[in-house]
Amino acid sequence: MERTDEALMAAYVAGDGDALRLLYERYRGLLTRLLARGMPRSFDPGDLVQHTFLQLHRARFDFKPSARLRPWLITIAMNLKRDHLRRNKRSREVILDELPERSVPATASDTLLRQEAATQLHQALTKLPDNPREVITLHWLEGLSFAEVAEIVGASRSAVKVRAHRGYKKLREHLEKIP
Amino acid sequence: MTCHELQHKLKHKLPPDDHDREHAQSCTPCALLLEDSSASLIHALNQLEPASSPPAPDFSNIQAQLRAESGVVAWLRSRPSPLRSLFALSAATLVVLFALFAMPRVDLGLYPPLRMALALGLLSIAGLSTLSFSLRGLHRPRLSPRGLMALVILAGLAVPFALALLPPAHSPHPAALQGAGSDLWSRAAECFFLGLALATPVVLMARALSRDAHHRPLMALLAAAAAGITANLALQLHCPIVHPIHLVLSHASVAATALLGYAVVLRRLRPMSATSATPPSTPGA
Repeated sequence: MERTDEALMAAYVAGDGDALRLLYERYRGLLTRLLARGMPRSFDPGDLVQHTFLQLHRARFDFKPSARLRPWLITIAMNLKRDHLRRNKRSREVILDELPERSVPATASDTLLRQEAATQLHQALTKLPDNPREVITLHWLEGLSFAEVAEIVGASRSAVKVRAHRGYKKLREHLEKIP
Repeated sequence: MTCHELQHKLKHKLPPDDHDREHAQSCTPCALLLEDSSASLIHALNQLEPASSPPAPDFSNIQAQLRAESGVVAWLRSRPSPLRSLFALSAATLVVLFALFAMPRVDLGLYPPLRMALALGLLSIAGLSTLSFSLRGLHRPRLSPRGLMALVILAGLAVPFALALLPPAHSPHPAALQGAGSDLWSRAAECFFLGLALATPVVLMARALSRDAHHRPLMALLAAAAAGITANLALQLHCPIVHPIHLVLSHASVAATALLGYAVVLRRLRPMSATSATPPSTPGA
């Protein structure tokens, strides 16, 4: 039977090195996506993924057995990403210019119009204030529950829902302006 | 019905039912998504998924980093956070006790007890708060950068300078009258450099205990503030001069210098890129 994340973390804390490898295999995709999202084309999230696991190692004795590992690990990754952005002083306008291209299949024109709307929505998402943007990224795009998002961003569940509502509202307003 | 279940339906264009509408009545974000009748928002949100995720680094890179985690500093920073805070607090306490027992102020018997309690109390609170926040782990949700900067300024600068600018605590002891005349600069220099020396072990210990070696500027400033406050505590127990000009020039200024100095040193020591201290990642298979 597959061990849970928390069981693997407990095993790692107890000295089982292979448990960390298994955790890495489980989380590397999610973390890579999360760290790459909204970053410039030239950005390689690999360093931050490595750093996340290094920080997990350093903080391993702080992990409470009753806690859930996923929000704990994502909190580390998100904090590292914020620090990276702050340290490199990237403005959102610069990031917008360097957004990775989306692969657009050759389909009917209405799909291309919707693709254009998505590109504009992507820009609108980047322009949102940090709080609602993070919540929408974690909840909608990465599929985390509001409870997990609340744990990661350090707010109450109701505050997180308010941020999500405000974010979706702003994005919808932006879409309505697109001809 | 949960947000997750409704979201799954919306993502896969499944029709909502009464359970979804019931859920939306108590969940404002889900209500907004549900009322997106043209589905343009949802469709656009779905299009935000990138075509492919970038390759993840190989686990061997991480293993290499973990193998490098050895020695006293690696041991210190991997201790549980309460223990790291205790180590940092112990270092600060030792510095203060050293000043109290090895070189106590000669006017201790004359110094008004309430005034002493006020100074020690305010400095202790300032020191404890800055020290504990400076060691906050990355696994904890971030705090407001503005709030932390306010703490640096309030605790690290405002408290020492405010205490220094209070009227002299007393005057009967001859030592209390020194440091304001011709010997202003010599006395100030003595206390200033002693203060810097007392601050140094605290900032070194805080850096050793930090899991990111203070690559985060605010955490570094908090540690420097804690070191400067510790020096002020020690000087408060050592130096008998009560004249405000001496206290500003040589006690409170240690706090300002600690902040500025560590920020300058950190800029030089900080890696150029986010993680240049880590091995370059190799895309995984």
